[in-house]
Amino acid sequence: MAETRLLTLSRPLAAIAHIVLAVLAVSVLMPLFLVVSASFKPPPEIYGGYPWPVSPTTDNYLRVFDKVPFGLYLWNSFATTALRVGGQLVIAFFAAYAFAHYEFPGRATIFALILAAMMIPHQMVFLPLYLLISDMGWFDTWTALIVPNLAMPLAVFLLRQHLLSFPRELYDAAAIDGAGDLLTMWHVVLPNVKPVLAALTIVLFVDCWNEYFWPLLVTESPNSMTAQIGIRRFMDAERGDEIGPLMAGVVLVSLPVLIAFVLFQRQIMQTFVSVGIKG
Amino acid sequence: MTAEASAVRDQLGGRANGASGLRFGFVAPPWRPYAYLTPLIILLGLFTYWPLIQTFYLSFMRLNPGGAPSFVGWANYAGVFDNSQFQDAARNSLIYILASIPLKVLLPIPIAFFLWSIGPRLSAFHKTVLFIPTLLSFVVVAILWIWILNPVAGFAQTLLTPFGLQLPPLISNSVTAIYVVLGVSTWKILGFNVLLYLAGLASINRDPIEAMRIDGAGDGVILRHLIVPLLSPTIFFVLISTIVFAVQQVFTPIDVMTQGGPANATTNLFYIVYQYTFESFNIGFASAAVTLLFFAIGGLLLVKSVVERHVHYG
Amino acid sequence: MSTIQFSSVRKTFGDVTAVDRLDLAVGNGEFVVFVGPSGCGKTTSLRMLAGLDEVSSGCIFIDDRDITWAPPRDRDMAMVFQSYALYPHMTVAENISFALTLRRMGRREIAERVQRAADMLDIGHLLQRRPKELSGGQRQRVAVCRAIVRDPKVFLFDEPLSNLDPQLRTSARGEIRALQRRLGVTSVYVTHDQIEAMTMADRIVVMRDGKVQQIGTPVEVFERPANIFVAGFIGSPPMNILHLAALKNGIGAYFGAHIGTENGAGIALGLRPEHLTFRSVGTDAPTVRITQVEMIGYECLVSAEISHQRIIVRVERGLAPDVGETVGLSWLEHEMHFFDASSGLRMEQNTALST
Repeated sequence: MAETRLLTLSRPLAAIAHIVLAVLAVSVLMPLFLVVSASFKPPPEIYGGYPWPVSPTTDNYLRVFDKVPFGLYLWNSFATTALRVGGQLVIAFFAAYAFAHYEFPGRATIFALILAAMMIPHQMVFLPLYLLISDMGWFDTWTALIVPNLAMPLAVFLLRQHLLSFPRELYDAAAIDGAGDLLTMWHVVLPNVKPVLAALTIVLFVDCWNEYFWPLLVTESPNSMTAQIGIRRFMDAERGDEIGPLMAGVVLVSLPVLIAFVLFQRQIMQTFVSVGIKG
Repeated sequence: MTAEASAVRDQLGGRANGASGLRFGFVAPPWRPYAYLTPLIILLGLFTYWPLIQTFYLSFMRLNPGGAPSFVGWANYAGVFDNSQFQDAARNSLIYILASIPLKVLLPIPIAFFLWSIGPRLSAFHKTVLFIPTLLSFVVVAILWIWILNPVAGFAQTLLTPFGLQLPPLISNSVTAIYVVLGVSTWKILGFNVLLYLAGLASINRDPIEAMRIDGAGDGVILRHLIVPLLSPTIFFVLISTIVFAVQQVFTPIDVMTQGGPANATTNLFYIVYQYTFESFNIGFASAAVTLLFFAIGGLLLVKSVVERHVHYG
Repeated sequence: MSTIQFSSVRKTFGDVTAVDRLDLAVGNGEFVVFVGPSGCGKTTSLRMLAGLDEVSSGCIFIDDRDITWAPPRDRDMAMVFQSYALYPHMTVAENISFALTLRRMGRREIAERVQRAADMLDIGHLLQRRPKELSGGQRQRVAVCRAIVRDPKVFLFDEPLSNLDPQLRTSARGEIRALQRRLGVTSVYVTHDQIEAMTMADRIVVMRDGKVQQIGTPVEVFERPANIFVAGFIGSPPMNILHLAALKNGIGAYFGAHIGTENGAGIALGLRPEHLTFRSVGTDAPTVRITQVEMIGYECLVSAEISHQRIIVRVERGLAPDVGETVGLSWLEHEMHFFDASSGLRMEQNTALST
């Protein structure tokens, strides 16, 4: 987002600008700081005391794995997210390839149907879906977390758009060189859509990792509970007593996304904004 | 055609005249694209469209204790309107939406301008910081604020104690609870909306601005007469998104912080569907409520596309 | 080293007929050029040969094997595309060897082949670069290299020189033809540039609106064009086509003496600019008025007007008249081409003159 300083504010207004922005920055950073510091505080310091730990300890981090099967929660989150995002990408890629590469009867209709599905919000379907999951015996399994969400029209839309702008002669050249569809996808198309795939992966990953509503419905036991649900259950169970470990849990749950953010800051912000506009 | 070619063609299932084969018609089995689309279509059919139909269907049914559901026509819809919980939820949603507008739609605008007017490095820093809450999960954010606002020992309290002030229990207070939820969700979304506005500002063509400058207009004039009007599509977009989001998506903070309470003070049109399903086990009501919501949102989006067609500055 | 046969090949897109009855036999090692304006069906014909477009009806044979429905990879052909279609994410070496890698050739053999082919095209030093680092001319060579390394039965060229600078084009077309001669691979080449066709082809296929206008050697097509279109298309500047019926005097009168104006009604006369000369006004010769003189070096292109029809004459610079002058026109008898004005088809001279 390159911008030129197009507005030059008068002195007092500029000062206000800086003050407002500073206040906002503090309002974001302070709570975060508090959480992190609380996660390192021993119990007596949690209530009251200074904003920073006087005698920092990593006990809380150990305790959170003790008091609840937090490791299992994290593993569930990680595995289901990885599987789900992977599945979403593969399915969306093949679909996008079909739309971009072939002409076939019904093409426009099918695409419209897929787009329309994007408009249908979660609440419209969760109830029958929930019943369906129970009937299928998927309740409280990874399958319930992954499978119903594998269809991602947004991903199809974005990938198709990108593939359409692909020079068609490359497909032809690959065909002449002897590559069938799969080989063309692997050798020719994929290497050239890496940035879009990366962007999609990030968005889908964060979306899945942070998800709350659906896992709330379909998970019950620690075997399939994701970290978000796990953390919430922890809070319910130990109200007040275990703030330290709770904060540690909060930090751990947020860590993967934040680390990715630190590494890929610019791309992540750009991706989210552009996806937000299109979706 | 030779026998050999016929055999090959049959094998490929080729058509006699490539009627639809435009430039992409190279020799390949015609079922290919369908094969690629099949998983997606099955998934959408099974997990999106079929449940959608079922929801409509269920909204006309009542689940009887015996087991077999019975058709009750519009009774659920009538019942929902009568239901005090629903009325609370509707009222809350309305309050929420109205309050969201200044906070989430209007407030980010001047902030975006501020960011636009300071140096690039400082601006980059602020943008990054503001974006962080977007990445955190709502659960994390909710837990965070529960703890800060804890009247006994939350951090806000520790700030106030030296001054002899006492933070009232905001979350468990039926009047203030909804505003807490509002505040929390604003905290989470503000940065994102600012970035949306920045994107909108960046896409404004510079030339008219330069022209106005040359004509002698000051910043204020340019702002009022050129930039804000050109920004209105973005403003409209953020407005609609915020409303839709407010009604559809705000579930997690409610569930984590207040569970809809106290006394239905924070339940909203989305949360109530959850409550109907899992607290009152009234599937009919839940389906009816959600269907109503669906058409309300649909109507809103229709308005949006109609307005968009007219409000397009190119 | 193969023969190709197009047998009543036809291609329709819905209502539109892109190629209408193509019958052509290409001999072993022959270099055939399809030429014509945009949309004439030449590229579609090539793509059907390559297997990139489906044939609506008819058959295509390679070495008497019916490949009409064979997928591209089974046809053992290599193609050079107009915009080269190099894989942007691969190095030049990888681009060239891609097809070989797909066929699971040994690494060493691939490397040898690539090196040999690259040397033939003088790009051996570019093997590790990426396409975006190369100039247009270099990319074009890589595209050609990619084709020859496969040692295929047939080469296909889809306007490979169109994207090059004009100077490069001249040298490149000579190189391509020399390369093809050296390798002896049967080739089908598509272009809209009639100069490329004339200079490179063993035989030319002139197409227009999906229909074949004429198939013949460059000499045949030049000296005996089958219809008005071919006459006007081949040769630069194009042949002058004069409708005798419209000429009240001048040439019409000139012929009127021989054939009478009624008969002149259905006839068009074709005269190449280089076959016309100027002379002083006299009773015998038709007169023209000079409208424009363009110098193109040693020669001039002189535009003249005769009875509201325009003709162009190529003369040496020294012999060019001035604008506005009225001069006489002359030509040699055997350089006249006659066409039926309504059908456009070629007529023999005695047929035209005797009727």
